[in-house]
Amino acid sequence: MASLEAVRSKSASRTRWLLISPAVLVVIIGAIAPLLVIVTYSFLTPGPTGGVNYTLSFDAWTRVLFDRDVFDDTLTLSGTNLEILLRSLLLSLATTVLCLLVGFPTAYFIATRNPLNREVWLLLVTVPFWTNLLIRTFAIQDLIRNEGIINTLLIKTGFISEPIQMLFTNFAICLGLVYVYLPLMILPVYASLERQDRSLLEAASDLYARPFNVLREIIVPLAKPGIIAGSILVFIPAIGTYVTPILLGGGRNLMIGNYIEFQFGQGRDWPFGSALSLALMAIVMVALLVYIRHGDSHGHEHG
Amino acid sequence: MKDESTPGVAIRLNQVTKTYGSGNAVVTAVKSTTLDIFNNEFFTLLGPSGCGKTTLLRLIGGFEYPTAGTILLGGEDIASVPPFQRPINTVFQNYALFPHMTVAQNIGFGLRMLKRPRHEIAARVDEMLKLVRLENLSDRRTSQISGGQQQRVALARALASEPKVLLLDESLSALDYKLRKEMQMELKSLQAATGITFIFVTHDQEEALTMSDRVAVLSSGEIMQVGTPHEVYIKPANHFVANFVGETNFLQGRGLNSDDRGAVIDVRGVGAVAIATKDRVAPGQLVNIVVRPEHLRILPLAQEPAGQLTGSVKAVSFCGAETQYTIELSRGAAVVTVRRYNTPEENLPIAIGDEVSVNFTPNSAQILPA
Repeated sequence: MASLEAVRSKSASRTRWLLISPAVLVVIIGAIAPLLVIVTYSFLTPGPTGGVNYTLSFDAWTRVLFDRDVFDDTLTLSGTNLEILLRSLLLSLATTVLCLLVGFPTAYFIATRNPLNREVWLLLVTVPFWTNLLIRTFAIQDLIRNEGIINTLLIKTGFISEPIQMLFTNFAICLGLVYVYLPLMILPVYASLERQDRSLLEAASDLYARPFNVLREIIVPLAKPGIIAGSILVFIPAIGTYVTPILLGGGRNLMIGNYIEFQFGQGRDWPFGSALSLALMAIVMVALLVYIRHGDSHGHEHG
Repeated sequence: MKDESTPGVAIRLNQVTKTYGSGNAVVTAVKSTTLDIFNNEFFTLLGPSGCGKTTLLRLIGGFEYPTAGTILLGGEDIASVPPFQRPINTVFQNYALFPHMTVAQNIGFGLRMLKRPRHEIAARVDEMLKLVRLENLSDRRTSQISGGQQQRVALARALASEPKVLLLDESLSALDYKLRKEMQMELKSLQAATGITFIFVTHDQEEALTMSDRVAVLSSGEIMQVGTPHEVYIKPANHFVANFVGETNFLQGRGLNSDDRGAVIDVRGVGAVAIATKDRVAPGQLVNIVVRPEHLRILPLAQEPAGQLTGSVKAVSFCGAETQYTIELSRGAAVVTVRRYNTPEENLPIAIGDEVSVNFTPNSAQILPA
């Protein structure tokens, strides 16, 4: 009896492995293998025309944070790298916050329409996706450049005499990022708001909660899963973004995505590029862990 | 209005109307309703679904605003006051407990919104937990407790801030039969203990009769009758109330003659029947005789000299405490339902196909205009 059962469970587990093997294969080829390559590269030295030489070195990792003095090999904190890292972090954080500030009311607005109108609004939210990202970014350029529509309009109406420099600033990058990633915030927040039981809002109102308190005590806490999902969906691509800083930051305000690209392109320093991208990954993971932990504990300590 | 704050009146509805939509698609949910609900009263709004009872409750709660009319609470018109400013709390049909809070946090929510001091809230929450016997569940999430317990949390939450009026929207309908019976008793005793006016909405006439001090029976947005459960059951004001509250037999007939003490009605195809009533029935006037199934007596025809009515048994169904007989009178002129308690003595066996006599005392029937 026992042996029969053992055989059966063995064959059952074999079937299980067989069934999930395509998925496992995709994960290995698509995620684990490339990651291993990157990790390996980050511990090698750069080849003369790109690629890597197979000699072990921690130099790439050291240079993520430090500059090595050309003459006496002393290490000093790298101002450029830190600035790029910090700028990337701050810009993507600002983008996430702005997306939330704009996206939450929008999602709430859509979630409180009648079901037929909701679908129309949701469709409108996705309209920007129908156009290529480059074209949309060029359109923003045209809006905010010195001879662009906004500046022209402001000068014509006499609000300002000199054009405001908006293009090629951190503001421009942030604007572009918010524009691009806003739908990724709206959709998950909408999904969590749409599921909310209207009678909970009535119950809160019945129990002396003013509209603002209904928002603070009921709507926002219950939408938290959507807010967390939306923030992650915005923050991760924003911190590694590539196109927007080039077109709207004008190459002067690099973000880490551009810096990594540079190492694999003109810089011909694949190990350093690998180390940078792994560092970016680590930052994102730490940020996420802190964020989700904090979000969770906040929910429990209510009232 | 002549006197705005009548002592003893908790809620006064004055010509309250509520319509939805506009133009040709206007739906009237509540039609010019006037109603007084007294302090410390267990009042029930009873009616079939779509009769406007929930709309009426929502108007009192402040979740809807009346299209016309006034709602007075202690003499003050609150018709346009938002819910968070009304000292009225609601137990919702689905309880509407906050899923992200514990039982204690749910109960304390109203007091917290009223900015009561922390220690006062804690003391009051403990008191409420004791009142609904959930002391050991205070730290549970509302998803971790049973339906009956959720019901109690909803009650405790609504009572915590000592409202002037408590509204209960079909609050027991989600519970199973046994639990519902229990909660009925509990609600009744809670109401007596707190002295708060309860306004209860239900479509279950049995529930309404058991629990209420007074009942308002509603149909299509209008109040059909207001009275004690006894009045509503024994003296229904019209055909609708007689039909909706409890089971009833209707026998249609025409008046033969009447005096101060009663009337004789000629029931079509059945014969003359005497009814005790103060109302005069004009000869030839079309009326309905209303008589409850448990007020009819049946006996095998052979056993008894023929009674007022005779008929044959068409169906017999055993319902536990009682047995229900469907009887066709005088070869199909009318069909009545008779209910007999299953006591071990007295009852002579009656089966399908038996010829029986059907009797009732003149006092147990009532006459309503047809």
